Amino acid sequence: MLYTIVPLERIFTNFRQTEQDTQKEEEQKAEYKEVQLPNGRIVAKRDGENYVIERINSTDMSDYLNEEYTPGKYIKYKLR
Amino acid sequence: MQDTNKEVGKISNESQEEEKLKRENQEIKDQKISEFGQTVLENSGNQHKIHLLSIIGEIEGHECLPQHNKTTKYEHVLPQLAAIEDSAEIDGLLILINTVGGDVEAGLAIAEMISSLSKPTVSLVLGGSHSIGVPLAVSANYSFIVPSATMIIHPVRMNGTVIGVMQTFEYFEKIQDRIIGFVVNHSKIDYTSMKNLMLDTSQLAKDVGSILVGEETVQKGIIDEVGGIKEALAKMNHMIDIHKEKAKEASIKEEGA
Repeated sequence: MLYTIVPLERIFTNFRQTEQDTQKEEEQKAEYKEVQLPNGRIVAKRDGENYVIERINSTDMSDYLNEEYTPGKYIKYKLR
Repeated sequence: MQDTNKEVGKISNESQEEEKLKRENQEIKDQKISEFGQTVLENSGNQHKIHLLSIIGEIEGHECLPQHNKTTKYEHVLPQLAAIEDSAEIDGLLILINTVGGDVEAGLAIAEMISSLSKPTVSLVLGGSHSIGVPLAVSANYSFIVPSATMIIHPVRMNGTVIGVMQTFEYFEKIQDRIIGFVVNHSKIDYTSMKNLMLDTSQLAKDVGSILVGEETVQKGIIDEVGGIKEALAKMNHMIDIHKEKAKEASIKEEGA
């Protein structure tokens, strides 16, 4: 049960318009990878051979200041 | 002829070795990734180790919300809170809140986890903390709100089939009572004033409920103080000092006994 000020139709509306769009989107769906940190995680998006950090979620404040974890940074990762 | 054969063998050997080297290099790189999370981070100065939890967007419960929603997921937050309680290094938890509400049970679960932490907790409401965000904001030991932030308190709604019987109403009352009960238990507001705020008909154009802005939440007794990050961190450090002193005293007493 949701207790929120956002109208339910707004939460559950699918903004994709046609089935074709849905198909196209699914094809373009990026591949994501999660890297665990001691106090959180990094979500990285696949970009060719590499992964680009997209999001960071951590309870350790200093992780957000760590340059290695900055969104937009590349992680080299060999695909298996 | 033999010579050329040897040479071919040599070349293939070389290329094999090269490949091996490449593979080894890659393995080292891979290891770096898997150990990526194990970098030791130096904490600046002799300050307390404070951890941060941000609660943003919709609070997501058992149901995955569509992609365009920004959500805080309970499967992420609950283990983090358990880890924070278990860690000997972490002294306190700062909670940043900017939420529009969300799942009742997930919200209450997170709120109960925060309120039952043994470590000092301080919450800071930024932007808004609506609906189920209210129990989340009061769950900390001490709560702050920035002057421009708002809190909307309104009744719970139901989607799907609603049967027009007395029991439906009672079910709603029960859910509402759980929310009000939590807020009353963890803040200075009393049951009737909280319920009146929830059922106010004079404030919202298309709904029942009330909007409280910054200072008003403090006057109503929901939030403890108006302030920003500076005040919140100062309070946090102060609370940790007291908490540590108490723990020290207790250990001395135990030794004496």
